[in-house]
Amino acid sequence: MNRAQVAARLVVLVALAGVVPLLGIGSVAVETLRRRSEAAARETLSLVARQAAARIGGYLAAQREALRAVATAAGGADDAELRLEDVAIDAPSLGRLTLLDPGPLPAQRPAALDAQALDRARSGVEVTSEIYLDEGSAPALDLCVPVRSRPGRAVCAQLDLFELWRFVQRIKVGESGYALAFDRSGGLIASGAGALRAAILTGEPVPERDAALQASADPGAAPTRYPGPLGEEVLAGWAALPERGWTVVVEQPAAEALRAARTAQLVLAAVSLLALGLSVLVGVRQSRRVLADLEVEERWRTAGRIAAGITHDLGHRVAILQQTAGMAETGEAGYLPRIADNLRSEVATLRKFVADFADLSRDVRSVERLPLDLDAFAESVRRTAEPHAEKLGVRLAVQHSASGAWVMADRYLLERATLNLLSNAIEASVRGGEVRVEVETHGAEVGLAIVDRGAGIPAERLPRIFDAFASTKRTGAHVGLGLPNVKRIVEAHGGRVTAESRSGAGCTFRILLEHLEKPV
Amino acid sequence: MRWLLLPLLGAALGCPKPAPPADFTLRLGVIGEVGPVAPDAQSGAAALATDLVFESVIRPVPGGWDSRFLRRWERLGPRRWRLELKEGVRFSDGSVVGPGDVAEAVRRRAVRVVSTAAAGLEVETPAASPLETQLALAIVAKQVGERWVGTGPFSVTGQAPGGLVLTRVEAVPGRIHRVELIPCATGREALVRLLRGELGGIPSLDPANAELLDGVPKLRILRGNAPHAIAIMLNPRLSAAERRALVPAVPVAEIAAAIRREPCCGEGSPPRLVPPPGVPLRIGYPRSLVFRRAALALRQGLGARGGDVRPLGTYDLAGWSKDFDLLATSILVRPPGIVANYLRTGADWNFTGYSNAVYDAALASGDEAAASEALAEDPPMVIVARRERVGAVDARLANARLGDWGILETLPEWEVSP
Repeated sequence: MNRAQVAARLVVLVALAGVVPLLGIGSVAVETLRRRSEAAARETLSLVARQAAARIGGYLAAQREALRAVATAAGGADDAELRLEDVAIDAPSLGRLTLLDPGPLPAQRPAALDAQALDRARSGVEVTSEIYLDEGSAPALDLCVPVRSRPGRAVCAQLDLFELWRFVQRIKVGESGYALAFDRSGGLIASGAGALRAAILTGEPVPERDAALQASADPGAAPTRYPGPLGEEVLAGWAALPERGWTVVVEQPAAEALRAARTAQLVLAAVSLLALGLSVLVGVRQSRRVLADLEVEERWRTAGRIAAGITHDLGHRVAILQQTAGMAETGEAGYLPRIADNLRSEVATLRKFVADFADLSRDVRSVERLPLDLDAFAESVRRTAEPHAEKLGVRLAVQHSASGAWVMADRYLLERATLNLLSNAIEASVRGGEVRVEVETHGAEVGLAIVDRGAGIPAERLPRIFDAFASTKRTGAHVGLGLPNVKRIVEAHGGRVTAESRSGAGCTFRILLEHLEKPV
Repeated sequence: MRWLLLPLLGAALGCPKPAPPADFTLRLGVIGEVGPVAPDAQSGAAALATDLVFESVIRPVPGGWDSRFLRRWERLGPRRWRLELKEGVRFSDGSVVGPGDVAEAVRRRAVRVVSTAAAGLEVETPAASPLETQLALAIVAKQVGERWVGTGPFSVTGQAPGGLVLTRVEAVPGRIHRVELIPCATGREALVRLLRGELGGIPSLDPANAELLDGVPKLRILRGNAPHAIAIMLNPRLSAAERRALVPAVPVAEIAAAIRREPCCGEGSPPRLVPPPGVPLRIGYPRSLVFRRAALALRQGLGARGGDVRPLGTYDLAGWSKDFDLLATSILVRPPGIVANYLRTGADWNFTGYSNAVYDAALASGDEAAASEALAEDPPMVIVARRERVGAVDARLANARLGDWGILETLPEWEVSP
């Protein structure tokens, strides 16, 4: 994980730690607010509907009472017709007034009441028609009340219900809430919503018809949230006028009724975003600063470890060379073979130092990967390592894969890594021992396993085996950069390297890479 | 911080303002059939179209008269007039309006043309009455083949049973470009189509139906005065003295409230005198709910003098004076001076048989003050209130209003909002 990734992870942690609790608490609060707002809005709408129904019922009752008074005051007089004409002028809402006598029914009589109903009125029973539109498209309702003082006589009025229209049209809840009124059959009779008013004239059903029929029986059973006439979701409150079978609903777009909750949600979202932004900003700055400090510290620590390793290993080499120089100073010919051996050996060791440091300095991020046959590659590596193995009396063996194993790899770098593992395995083996190079397949991965039968690595050291300067071979010939380099190279190929060991039973190092279909 | 506002300000200034549609079509619902568009069309879509297609020789404007055809006109004698013509007026087909076209227009109003010259005409009215009323009703039009061509801002571009299409002769930005007059069988059908958005307006509505349009988005209710007024005609058989005594006793405010179906009356109502004693007066009315309510209110207001209230047997106004003493009816009060057509002795519309020599003489001499004085001395009627016109149009027509003579006469000036 590089520095930017570490910084990003830190930032995410800081941001989540700051914003998640805020979001959680806020969401719960907003949902609670939304539910309460909706319940309150429904209750308000229901209250307005009940008030409207009461007002409409009151208006109809007042008209009925006025007609009873007219029937009592004027209906019994001999010049009742004349008096009724005057009443029609003084009380225009009673509309046209008609006197029913015991004789034949007059030509101009209530349009919406049949002869039987009018006979009932003359026999002493109040009768009322359903609401209807007169020939001028005005809302009307016929009502007949008997004249108590003159049996067989009744006074009828064609009640003008413009007041019903006006009242329902005047009801406004919020910016766009409105009321609708329905008759006994669910037909629309008054509408505060302009889009629905044509239905009053045509009698065609509106979407709320079924709900109105439900509400007529039980206002509490009618739905309170449904798609409104303009397609948007509305909240609704219902009320009934049981004596007429009419219903009143007050509707308000849900978006408007719940605007407070919606605003709270937006505010919460804005605050969360702000908090997130601030957290990220602060996190990025602080992470960069901390990481920069850590990097400086890590550099010094690394330099110290390199210096310690170099001091220790080169000190040993210097001691040997000093000893060799002492032998050379004696001028004895007998030392010459030892001097030559020492110099050859130390030069080889120093070359290895140089090679390790060269590997360390090599940039493995831009590897040039080409298709590579691991079976052939294993043979090649074996041949390269053979002289070193023979010198130490160790036998090398290669086990090929069963069905071929191809990978995409930078041959040179992969060879450096594999030879490093193989060299370690050879050096860890006893004379006469065997080191195997096995080409394996593991599902989507293929690998090279370097298996030795040496002393193995203690279990406690295994977790840090790929760390720099953590060599298990403190012989003075290793600075501990080999395995870290192997890991670097393999990971640069998108693969991974593993190590297994049992004390006294040797080690198995595996380089695992993505399997490539054999190129055609 | 201020520099942050600059881009916003720039963006706001840079935003193009919404423009009104360049080809705005107004679909108006009209109750009745589509008849041929002609200067004498009296009803339906064709009558409405005359407001837009034709122009009268003169037209009333606040404080007087205006004319596109006459430079001036002057009285030469009790019945003789000289009309001085303007030049350059054209019909919608591009042809020039000549003296003959104006002469033909006044002839159609039964005004005799004595002489015709390029500079003007000399005309003679059939009676000693103001010429202006006749000129205001005289429509300049020319028959081309089977159709009539006018000088108005619109011309007929489509005429079929399904509607009448009028298109502006010269396009004017921000104004209505095309008017479609759509016939509807009933007022209810027109209302339904308006509420459904199939129509952009109804120029003539029953005032009661306007209740249903109140608060409907995208629609605006228009109210204005009609050229008619409710009047109580006094039978000339009653003596002048009795008629003089009756005039202040007519319950004008009560009748006006009854027509509007409103209760009457507030404390600010003008005082009304008690009618002189006598036999109950018989009150007639043309068979219509409005006039019936006016007649009933009149009877109620007259108290003991209020007699029988009955409708006329037919709409035969000429016969009313045999059966009734008072008549609640409707008369034209616009354009100015037109009332003379009801009151001058022997005038076409004088169905009451009213005759007042002093008034006739004042008319002949053009003395308006003397004419008013003569009518006050021997009153023929009481004007109650102008009748109301109600219409509804697309709310985008910002300054729409109904004309008090031709109902659509102001339509060419209606501005279309974006």
